[in-house]
Amino acid sequence: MIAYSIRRILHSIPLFLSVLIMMFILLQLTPGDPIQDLIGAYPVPAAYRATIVAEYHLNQSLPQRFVYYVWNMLHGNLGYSYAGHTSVTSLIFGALPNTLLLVAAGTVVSMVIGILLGFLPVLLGGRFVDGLVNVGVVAGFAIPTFWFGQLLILFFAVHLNWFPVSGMDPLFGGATGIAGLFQHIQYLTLPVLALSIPALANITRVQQQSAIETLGNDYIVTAELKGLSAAQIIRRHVLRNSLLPVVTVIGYGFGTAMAGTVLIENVFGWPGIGNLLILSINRRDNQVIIGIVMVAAAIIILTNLVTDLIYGALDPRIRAQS
Amino acid sequence: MTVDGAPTGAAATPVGEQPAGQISAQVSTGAAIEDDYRPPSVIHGARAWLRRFVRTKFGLVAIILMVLLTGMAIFASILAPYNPNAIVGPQFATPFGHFLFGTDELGRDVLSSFIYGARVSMLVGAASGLLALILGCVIGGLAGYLGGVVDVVLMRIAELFMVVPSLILAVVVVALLGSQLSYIVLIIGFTLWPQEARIARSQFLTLRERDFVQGAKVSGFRWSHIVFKEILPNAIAPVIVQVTLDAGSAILLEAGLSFLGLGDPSMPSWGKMLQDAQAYLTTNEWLSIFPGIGILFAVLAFNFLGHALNEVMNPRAPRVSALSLGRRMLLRPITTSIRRSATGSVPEGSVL
Amino acid sequence: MSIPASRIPADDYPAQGSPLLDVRGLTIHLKVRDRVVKATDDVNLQVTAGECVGLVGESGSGKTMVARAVVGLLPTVKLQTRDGEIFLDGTNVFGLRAKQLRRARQGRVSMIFQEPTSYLNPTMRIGKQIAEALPKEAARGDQTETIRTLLTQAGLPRGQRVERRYPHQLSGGMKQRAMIALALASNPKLLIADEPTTALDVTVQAQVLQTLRHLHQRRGMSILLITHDFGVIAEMCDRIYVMYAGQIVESADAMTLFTKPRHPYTRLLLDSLPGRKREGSGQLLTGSIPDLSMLGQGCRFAPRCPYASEPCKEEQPLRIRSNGDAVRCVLEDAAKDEGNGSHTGLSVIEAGGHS
Repeated sequence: MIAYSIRRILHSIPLFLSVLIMMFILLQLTPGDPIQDLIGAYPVPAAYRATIVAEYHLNQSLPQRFVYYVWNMLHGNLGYSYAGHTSVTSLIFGALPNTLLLVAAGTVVSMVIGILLGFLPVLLGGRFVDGLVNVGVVAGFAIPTFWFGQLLILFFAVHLNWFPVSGMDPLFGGATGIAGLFQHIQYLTLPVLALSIPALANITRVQQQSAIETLGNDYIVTAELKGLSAAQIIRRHVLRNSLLPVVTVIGYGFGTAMAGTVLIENVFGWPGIGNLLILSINRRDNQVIIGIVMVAAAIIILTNLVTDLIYGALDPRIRAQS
Repeated sequence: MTVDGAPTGAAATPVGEQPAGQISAQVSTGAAIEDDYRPPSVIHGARAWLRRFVRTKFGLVAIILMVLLTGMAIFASILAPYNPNAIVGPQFATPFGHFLFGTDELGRDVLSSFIYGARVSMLVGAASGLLALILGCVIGGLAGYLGGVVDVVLMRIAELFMVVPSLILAVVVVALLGSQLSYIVLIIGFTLWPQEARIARSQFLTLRERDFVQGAKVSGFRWSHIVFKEILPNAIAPVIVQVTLDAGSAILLEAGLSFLGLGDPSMPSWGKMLQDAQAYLTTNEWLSIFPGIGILFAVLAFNFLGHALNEVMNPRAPRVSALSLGRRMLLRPITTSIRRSATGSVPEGSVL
Repeated sequence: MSIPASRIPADDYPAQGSPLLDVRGLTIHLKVRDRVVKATDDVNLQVTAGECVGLVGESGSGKTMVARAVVGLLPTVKLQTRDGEIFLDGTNVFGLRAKQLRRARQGRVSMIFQEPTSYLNPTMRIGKQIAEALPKEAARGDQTETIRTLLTQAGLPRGQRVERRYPHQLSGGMKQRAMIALALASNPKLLIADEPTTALDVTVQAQVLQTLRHLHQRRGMSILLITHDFGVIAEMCDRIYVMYAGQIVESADAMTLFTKPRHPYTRLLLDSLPGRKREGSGQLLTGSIPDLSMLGQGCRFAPRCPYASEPCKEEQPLRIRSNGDAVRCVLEDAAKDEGNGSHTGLSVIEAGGHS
């Protein structure tokens, strides 16, 4: 377990670095004046240009510039947003909690509903339930999440008026207490639903397959011969063993959800980093763009790592290797 | 066990000795390992294969949808009643009136935009899928076949592309480099190939060790023959299935890009229509209905195609559906043996 | 010749006490992809208390199917025909479902399989898996002690603390012993062992067999040993049934079977064992077992039988002797006619050649 964990952690660091390199190369490939790109859509006076060159070490070699960039990043300096008139770091980390709230809620919802739905055909039996769940899974994979979000708004917000059409209840400074919680949930519900669909479909599919595959194992025969009832078998043997592969799916689904927020935040006007990304693209605020990608990548690499570690702890085959 | 003298799937070991005097015929080419199991190649038996394909419920629907959508894309200029960019009517005309799908905020015919929108989606789906297929096979095949450092390096690169979510990568690249259609196809293909590469790699890895490949190597065949004629036809089946599924993802990605305003501005796109509809969600809702349906069915078409291909190429043992608690005993199929083998005979196994 | 019912009438049964396991006329036809596979046909088999019975046959002979039928593991979905009775300790268990089946099995029959790895839950400790098989009434504290005792009886001494381990931490032989301990937990009267040593190394094979023999002797537990390995049979069994293509073709006590095999299949099988004195015509067993979905009329072994002749084209019933031995072959009739049921019948045919 220890060896496994260390290996996994060490694996993540070069991964993050390579994402960095990739982004850096991307920046270099961008057509146009690099200084103009740094600054964005604003005119650049000559004296200012000299300052920029000095500050970003632009007259030095590529690898050196890269080193400076990494150095800065590790110190929390991701650059300056000329459009936002503030540091990239504060921009991103101002919006990040909102996105994390959305993604976390979405992951929880997809996990709970997905596992339940995945188990349903096994518990209830019958081709009908099985088929129904399969249809749901297929639809979940095919439907564009942003369109689904729009449909949700149309039906539940516009027609039924149960939920607000867009926006977000501020995390801090809004209503407090039970009323505050209720309001949070009101604003959260529709975007979370829309966001969770792809992950939900995947979790359901994997859980269903896993449950069926587990049931087909020989040790279930042994359990039957032991005299265990169907309920006991499912509780003691099937549940635990079939959940194992789902853990990784849930963890990796977090990353997919991060991507999904770009669209969902746009549809629902949710002030997270997805929205910030689009805003920055429209304002040609390249530093922010790169910064967002790096932060997102870091978060995803981290969650993947945690997922793998949790899985390692759960699977006794990995755990017991002392 | 042999039926009609043809070797079956499971390696049959008849009890007892071979009657003296029977020498297994040595064929003079590389395929000297006769009794080794060779998975059925996709290429052979095309017609029977097609028939099986259509018989699956997914296959039939997939073909119908693909034909409809591709037709819509190719013959858009004939099918569309108006030029999608032309203002031909009042703003926000409701659907099912003179304009079947209504008109948008400028007065353009929604139906025409819808029909033309199929072009971009189907094109991106097919082209990006193809790119992912080629890239995935090449990189995955190299990694699986050569192994060692090459494998490690290539798979690290693949992991890199998997860690950054496709949409974010696509958004950033398009934003920085430009949103021409060719760029979009390229970048989407580049975000999707790692999936295919993983599958291709594992296929090549396993097949490389198989007897019929070893035999070919020993017989002195050139690597190009081995890779393209022996390994690839057997490896490619699951990759193709993944490609169809990824083609669906490509369509969703393109729609997402267009929705965010990053699509190719010169072409009508369902995603862009949804973006236009976004502003009027509270007032004119039907604008978002039709383009979304288009995207949904285009993705379904490719996904069903993939499902049907999967069922044809890997027939699963019929799953027992009655797995319920309480009333019925847990039923288990005889998983160890009764599997559909190539000739349909009952193979050896621990069952009987 | 019409086919007489080959069921053994109860009153003709040799008086050994009523059998613990009494399989009568077991017929199982499966539906496999529009073909009907005749997995077993009219199989009769008995195991009395304290007896060790061997069921021998090649892969595809139907022996595993018989075992599964006894414990109730047949796939009801694929079943086309299901006929016969299986009396386990007096109760007909063939066709029982769910709760009744569980109750019938508990304390009466247990089974171990060829590949122990897949039959053990990889995420559960051995001790816990054995505990599940114990009768419910036992108290917690007693359970641990009982489990340790069971493991010791199965050849895993308590010093090794196997009950705390996970399956992947055990070797193949240890896993099989753990399975044996598991099977013993419910204190069964009959243990069915389906190829228990086939997947093990030769040295470990001998040890596991010894364990089984001890259990058989010390506990008085009956064993139904299913295998294709005659060596294993020879070591363990009192009586032997030989199966071919879904039918019992010969049954006799071990001594008789090895010294005076009567069915040509048995003889050829025994002859092909290395180190055995070749008797008879020195023929070898050639060909392979028939496709069970395309069986024709008549003796199923005829295509491979060196003594096959015209009468073999008709369905062959089991000829049963007074001591309970049975043979499914025309040659047996000739032998009986000759008078003393020795090899005479066969020798006559060999000497004179056959058509």
